[in-house]
Amino acid sequence: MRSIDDFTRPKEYLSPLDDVLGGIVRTWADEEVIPHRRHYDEDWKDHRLIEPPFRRLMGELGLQRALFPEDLGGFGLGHCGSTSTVCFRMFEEVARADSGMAVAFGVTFWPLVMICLEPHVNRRLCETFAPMFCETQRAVFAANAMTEPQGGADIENMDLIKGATLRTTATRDGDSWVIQGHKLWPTNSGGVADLFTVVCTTRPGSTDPDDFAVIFVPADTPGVTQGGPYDKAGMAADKNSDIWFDDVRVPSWYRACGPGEDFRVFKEVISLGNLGSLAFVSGVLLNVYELLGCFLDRARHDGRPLREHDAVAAVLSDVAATIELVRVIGYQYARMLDRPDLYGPRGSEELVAKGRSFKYMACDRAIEVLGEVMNLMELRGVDRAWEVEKHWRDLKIVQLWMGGKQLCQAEVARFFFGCETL
Amino acid sequence: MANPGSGLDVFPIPNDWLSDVDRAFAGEVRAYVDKQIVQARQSKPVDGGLLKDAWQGVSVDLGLQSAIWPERHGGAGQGSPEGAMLLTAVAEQLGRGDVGLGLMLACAQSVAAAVVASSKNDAQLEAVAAPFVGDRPVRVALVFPSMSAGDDDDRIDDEGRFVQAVVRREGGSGTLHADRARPLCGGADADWLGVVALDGDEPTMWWVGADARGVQRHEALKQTGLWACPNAEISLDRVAVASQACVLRGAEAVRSVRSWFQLLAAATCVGALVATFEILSEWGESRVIKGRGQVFKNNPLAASVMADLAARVHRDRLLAYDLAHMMAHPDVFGSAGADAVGVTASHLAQHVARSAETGIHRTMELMGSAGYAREWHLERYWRDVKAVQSCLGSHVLSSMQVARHYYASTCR
Repeated sequence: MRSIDDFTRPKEYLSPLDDVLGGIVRTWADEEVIPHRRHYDEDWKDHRLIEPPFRRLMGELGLQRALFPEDLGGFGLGHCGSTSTVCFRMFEEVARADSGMAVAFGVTFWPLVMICLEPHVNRRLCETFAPMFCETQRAVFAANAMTEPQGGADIENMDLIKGATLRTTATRDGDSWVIQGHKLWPTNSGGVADLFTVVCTTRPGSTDPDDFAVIFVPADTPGVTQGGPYDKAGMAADKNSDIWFDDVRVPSWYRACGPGEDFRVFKEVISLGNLGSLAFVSGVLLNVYELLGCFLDRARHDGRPLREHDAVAAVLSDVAATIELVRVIGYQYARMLDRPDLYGPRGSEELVAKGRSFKYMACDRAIEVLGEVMNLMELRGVDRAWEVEKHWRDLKIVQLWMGGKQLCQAEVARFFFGCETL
Repeated sequence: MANPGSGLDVFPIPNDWLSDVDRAFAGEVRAYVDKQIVQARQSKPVDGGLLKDAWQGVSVDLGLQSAIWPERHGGAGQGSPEGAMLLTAVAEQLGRGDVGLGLMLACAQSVAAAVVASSKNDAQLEAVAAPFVGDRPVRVALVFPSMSAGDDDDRIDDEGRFVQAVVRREGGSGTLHADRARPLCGGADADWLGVVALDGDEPTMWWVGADARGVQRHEALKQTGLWACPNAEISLDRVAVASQACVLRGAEAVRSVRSWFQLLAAATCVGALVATFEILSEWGESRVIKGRGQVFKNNPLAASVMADLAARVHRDRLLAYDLAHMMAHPDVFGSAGADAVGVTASHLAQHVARSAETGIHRTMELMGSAGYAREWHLERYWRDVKAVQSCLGSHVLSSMQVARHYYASTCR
């Protein structure tokens, strides 16, 4: 049986960092996570088992520093010209072990992308927050507080709604922003993150991009309150909760980019979120391929190995073909995001829409394929000891998040068919 | 406007298929499930305790588990196969509350239905009936042929599956043997086992108490769902079995248990779909797409997905009850174990279970993170329906039986 490294990767434009960082993460995954992950579901509230491998990956191996400039203690990934491509590989490798961990890790990059990524580096904010991530061996997380009780899809539907439904407000008071609002579901909430970006409006109901604001808020700022983590179908390593902002006061320069720019740059976060989703899907499928291989080593039907049954070949080929497709699409999208000189800005309507199309097709296909693998494995398919069902449960939320499938479809149709009111 | 309050009315089936007794019984079960599970789960966790109490209530307090047993054996006399509609309607209502409860019904009543329909031996009927007509809820685990893991290739049934148990005979007596056999579900706390075993070359089903000497229950398996009926592997180490314990003999008789299980598993999945419809109805009513000022269900894109679910519920409901109708009339369609009915039950159950999975998947997609949170209970039906599929076996391998039947293919 082929190894997971036999699946296609675009050799002609991989970064030299791809194998280096990918290899580090894979070793970490094989040693620190895969032997223990079947116990993670019960650890969803306390993270007693989940925290040590996070510490190892993010703190001790230093991956939480990756985006910051080298002179601030980071790896300089924010200006290396292949940020997205490298991130795809890293996220994929983490997701191969546990997609919940991949989300928690990947989302830490989301707020930092607003200030560390060329061409919109915010040097002052980098200097402010770099010590938090770069001068510790502890795992430090960031979170992007976006979704609100009245709906998440509306906030993500940026080109149509333009933030008009945002109820979390930022009011300028002297040299400070005062933030009021209620967010739900951010990854790395529930007491995990040390730093938030809060998506808010400076004028409720406004569709003016200038009024769309992304403001950094350290989690220990007075007035920030977080609820306990939600009990979910899976994704135990990703905590989500309510967050309330009551008269939270931060310096005025904690705004990520500025009027108009926050709106423009935040759309890059959407694109990178789509890329991350593709990477998670790819990583999960690679591990399911490995697990299925182990199953097939023993499974027999009608007196012969199950893998030699002609009808089963259809399922096996669907697994392999889906991995190939997601890999190719994921790396292609990463490359598009890394080459604004060729494909335009990362947050352009085109790249957001294309990312949505890649993401929802990959997720749909992956969920279907995972379901087929579980079905083929019969009673072992739902046996937690085999861990395929864990991947199935965890991956479902990847399909649901970022506005969900219907928003993806609306944005894709709008872009390609010129629809105006969807 | 459709009232999601009663699946019986919203998704109609031909009126004459269900008798007044069937409807009354299903109505009682529905009311019980509404109170003890659907309403209770708003304030209590849906855990083994709540579900165990519900099983006691439905099985014993409402008299479900004795329904089809002859009156002379202490049952309600609904009979088998005549009771197919009743059992299907009850399985649907149970599945609406909890899929695991529906599967428990399927395990127990598939043996009961097969035995009642076929047994000519009163003493044997009496022995099997006893736990069903008693005052404790009966919990049955079925050990069916399954995929093997490098085991004895000689113990293969006519569908290519490995028969997990075997009868060994010494002198006039027999003993049952199985090494870590995996039941479909419920192995962790079953009181009774229905074990398919090879007796020589002949498939047989044996009725064995879980506390019989030589029965070893291994550690409970952790599974993706089915909290009502946790599973465990079971070893049978020279379990002595009297001839009376062989409740079914021959391929057709043993296949009848599978057909009954498939019917009731399909009905359980229909119940899960009805529950999904009810959850989505509430969601669609209460959610507003702010940016459009639209109630969720009035958005055409959302409505199209909601419509797919509703159509799916109705189609699958009709299919399940159609199968029940066939199984209730062996004079017309053949017995439950005959090839035609067996194949129909197999592909129909596979279809309904896959359809239920797809319907719930799409509903979760519509509901976003709420669909994923335990709070809305939808994700439990999603996991449990997937587990039902695992009990039904691989649809790819099952399709070989279908191809053989319809096309005279020789594939296996």
